[in-house]
Amino acid sequence: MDTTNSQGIVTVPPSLSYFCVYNPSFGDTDDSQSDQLLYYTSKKTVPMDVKIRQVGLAQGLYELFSISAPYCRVFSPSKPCENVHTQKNRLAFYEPEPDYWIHISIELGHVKKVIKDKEGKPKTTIDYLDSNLHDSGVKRMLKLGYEMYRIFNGPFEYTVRTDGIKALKNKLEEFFANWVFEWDFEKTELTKTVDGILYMPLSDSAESQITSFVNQIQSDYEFISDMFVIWQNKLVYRGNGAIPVNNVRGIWRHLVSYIAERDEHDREIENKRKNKEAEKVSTFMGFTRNISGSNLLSYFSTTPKVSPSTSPTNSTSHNPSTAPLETNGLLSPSTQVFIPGPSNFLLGPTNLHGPDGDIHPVKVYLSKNSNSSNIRTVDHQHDVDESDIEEYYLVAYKQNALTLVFFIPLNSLEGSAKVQEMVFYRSFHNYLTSQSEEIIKILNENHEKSKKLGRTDIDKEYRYLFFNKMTLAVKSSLYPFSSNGSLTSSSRGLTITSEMAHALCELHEDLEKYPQLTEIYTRSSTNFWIVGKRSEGRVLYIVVPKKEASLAEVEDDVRRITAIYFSGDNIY
Amino acid sequence: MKNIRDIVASMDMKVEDPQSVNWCRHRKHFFILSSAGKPIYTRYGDESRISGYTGVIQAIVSFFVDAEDSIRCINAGNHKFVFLLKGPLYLVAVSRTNESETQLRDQLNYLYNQILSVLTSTQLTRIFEQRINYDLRLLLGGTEPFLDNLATSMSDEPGFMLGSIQCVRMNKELRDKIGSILQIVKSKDLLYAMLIANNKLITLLRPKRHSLHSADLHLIFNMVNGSSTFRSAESWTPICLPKFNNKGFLHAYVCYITGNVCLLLISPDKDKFFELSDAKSIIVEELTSCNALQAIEEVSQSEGYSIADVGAAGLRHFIYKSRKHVQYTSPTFMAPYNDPHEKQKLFKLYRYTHDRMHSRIRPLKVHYYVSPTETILGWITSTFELYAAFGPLISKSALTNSSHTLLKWIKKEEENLFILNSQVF
Repeated sequence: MDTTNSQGIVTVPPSLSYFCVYNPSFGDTDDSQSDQLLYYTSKKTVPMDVKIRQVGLAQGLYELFSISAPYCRVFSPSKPCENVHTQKNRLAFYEPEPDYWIHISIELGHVKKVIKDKEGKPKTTIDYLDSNLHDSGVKRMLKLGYEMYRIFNGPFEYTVRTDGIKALKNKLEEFFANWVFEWDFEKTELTKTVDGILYMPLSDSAESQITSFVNQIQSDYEFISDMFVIWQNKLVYRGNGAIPVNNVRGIWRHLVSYIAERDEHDREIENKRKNKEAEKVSTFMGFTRNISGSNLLSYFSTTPKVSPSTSPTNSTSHNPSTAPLETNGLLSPSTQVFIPGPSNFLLGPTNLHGPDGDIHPVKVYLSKNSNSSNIRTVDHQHDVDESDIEEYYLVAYKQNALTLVFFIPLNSLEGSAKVQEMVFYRSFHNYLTSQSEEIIKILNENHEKSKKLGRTDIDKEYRYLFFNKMTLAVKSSLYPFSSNGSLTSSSRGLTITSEMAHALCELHEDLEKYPQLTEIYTRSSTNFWIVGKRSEGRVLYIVVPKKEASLAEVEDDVRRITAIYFSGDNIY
Repeated sequence: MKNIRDIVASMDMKVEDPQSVNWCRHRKHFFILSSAGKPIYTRYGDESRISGYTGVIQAIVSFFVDAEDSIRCINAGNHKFVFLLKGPLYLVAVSRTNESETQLRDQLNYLYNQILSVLTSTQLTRIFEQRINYDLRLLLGGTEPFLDNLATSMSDEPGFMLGSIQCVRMNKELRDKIGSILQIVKSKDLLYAMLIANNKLITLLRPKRHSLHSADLHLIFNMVNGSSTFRSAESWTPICLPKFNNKGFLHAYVCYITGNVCLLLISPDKDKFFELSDAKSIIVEELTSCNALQAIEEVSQSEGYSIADVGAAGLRHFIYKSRKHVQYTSPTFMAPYNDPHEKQKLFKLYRYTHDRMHSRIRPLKVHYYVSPTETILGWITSTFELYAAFGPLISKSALTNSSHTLLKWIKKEEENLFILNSQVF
């Protein structure tokens, strides 16, 4: 949103110009060039020949610098072109699968001023804020977009092989169309660039109880090959290692947005009940249950949003105590009546007494972890190979603060059958309701205990971010806001200013660029210190706003935090 | 408007050239081409072989110009391609040295200024206005060695990055003596007079109202350095100093008076060779008679002072720039940095520090970091910039103490390390 201050200076934030997905091998003759374009969307309408020229530029850059191009081994750079900085724009390129490219152009944020020139005439000057858009943040967004697309739609090549190019184009459009323009490039939070998973630490006893809980369920239901356990929005149990850690992150992130929606929904119901409006039919705008990019809005944008989708919801709900239902067929797809029923399935039918036909199980495509006993780091550029894909049905169950996520492989005959049957969900629901009581108590105790630990004092006093590259675990006290936007009690300390946020991103990029550096201390022109420390796969970023402190004094502060997070018994 | 992809596809690159394999291995390339895509200069190799490549560069630049934008930088893994568009000339740096976009563009600016110093901007614009396809190589014949030398110097010396020059460390009395001797020859024919040794300034005489910008000084040093012909005889050469006046030529009298020591007398008048030659003779006579010439000769034989002179524990090397005087000082390189490879690595670290501290929007006052092989401190105040290298294990308090020791020493030695007050007339 453009903002104008009292001196008439207009600040325009960065915004997307266009976004496209293309594959040069689909149209490498002069006539067929438009076949390369698999998906294109832009702020303004753009004629086809301009689109082709933009794709041509992207490819020209790639070929110019590529190692494989037979006629040009001029510079042999280690990687193909990643981004282009121009005076007014930023272009970024990402090749998630061989020959498939995602390319994006962002208009830089800028500041418009009217000044007087030498003759006293008014002149508009524009200052483009190139260094406020960090390449690492943009890259992370492209990767994240692809990761989420792939989890729910499978790799591009896979779709082309099984369903054809047209199917791929449709999937791309459906997934990216809505939320590409909701990407907020102004947000320079390090948490977004680092993009880690929030874990809740468990005591040893809690951990063993979770393990037996999970084992029990998986032995009672053998077709469930893997599970996650989430408490509030934190991951407690990340499966048995069959799922690679970036997929764990993707699924967790997706569930967290559902959990937030459901919590919001539950709060509204509570309020309505308190206002004695329980007798009215509670109707809400359709919570889309179809897996499209729309659910990621709350992750990306500044204000959480729910948007309509063109596909039917997973189910309608039936509350026996309310007025007659309106069924799917009578309503337009974008306004589904949703009556909260007794079911706790977050992914799964909410009306357990509806017909089997109402069930639309969610399918995900995950990579196989080649070494299931380890967690692998995720730096490979291309990790697709159809034999590498495992398809699962995803079912999620939420009771209070506990969410359970179940993975049922498609190639399990029994599993694939059960997920289509309402009967199964009914009995599973009852089973889980009773099984979960105990574990909810245990996790609640664990959560209360961990709040009391000294760690929270550190959280109050310091602003820091800890990240473990192996597990993708992140722990941050940078932005201590609760999910409904209000300040939590631990936020009494410093507020991270936009200058600090940018400085943190720059420090992060430095540590990434120079892997041999073990620590970096910087003092800004406004006298706050920012420190980055690295120890094996773990990184810590700390803001120390002590204007008079010397280098050695800042180190004392840093030591208090590294003592916790870099020690051997750090559970993250 | 042609599609870039098609242009690349039709590019005719001869890779069977045996030179080409080595060509790829260079860590930094500089290219200068006309806005029509004609190659003018390449740091390595032969301009005539890169016309395919410069054609593509021109097409890429035009793509953005057509969109009312201008390309600045392309990142591909470790490679950076940095563009500087100066009217009829496009300058491109291709580097995998990890230098930043700003630093590479500054270097391109120096190369551009070197061209201006041979042509002046008036001439440059006029040429291309008349003929957009003009082959500038015709006019720049003989300039390549200076461009090459500049490219090398920019990698080897911190002065370009710092925007300042280094002085010879010498006794203040001696320097003042030399300065007063230069004053003898001042006349309306003389604009600047200076004595240089080993790319460092001994002293400078200038008009009160015209200080000499360090960028111009760098070009002067480069000119003296870039050609061995100056050593053998007195020379008289036109030179444009872009910061002084980019539209016209001055003339420089260049003569080595002893060993490594070079005298430069710069005049606005192209017909004053003999007058300036006479001036040189007077200067040499005066210097000899008070034994100053002998002293200068000795000083110029030495590489510089050693870090041991400073007596700061743990300090391996430093660069100190006085912001007020726009000069820097730095000791010789002791182990491990007397190895050229290690020295380059150290420069790389200094450049990284410098770049981060001088960010346009978020400059830093202190930048400290630790690697397995060293600890680097960057420290900027209103009066100085300091870049210092220590061992990897030094504690922060020891480092702070050592830095203070260094600053005290510099303060004490100030008048010998820097030219605090120029000789003016």
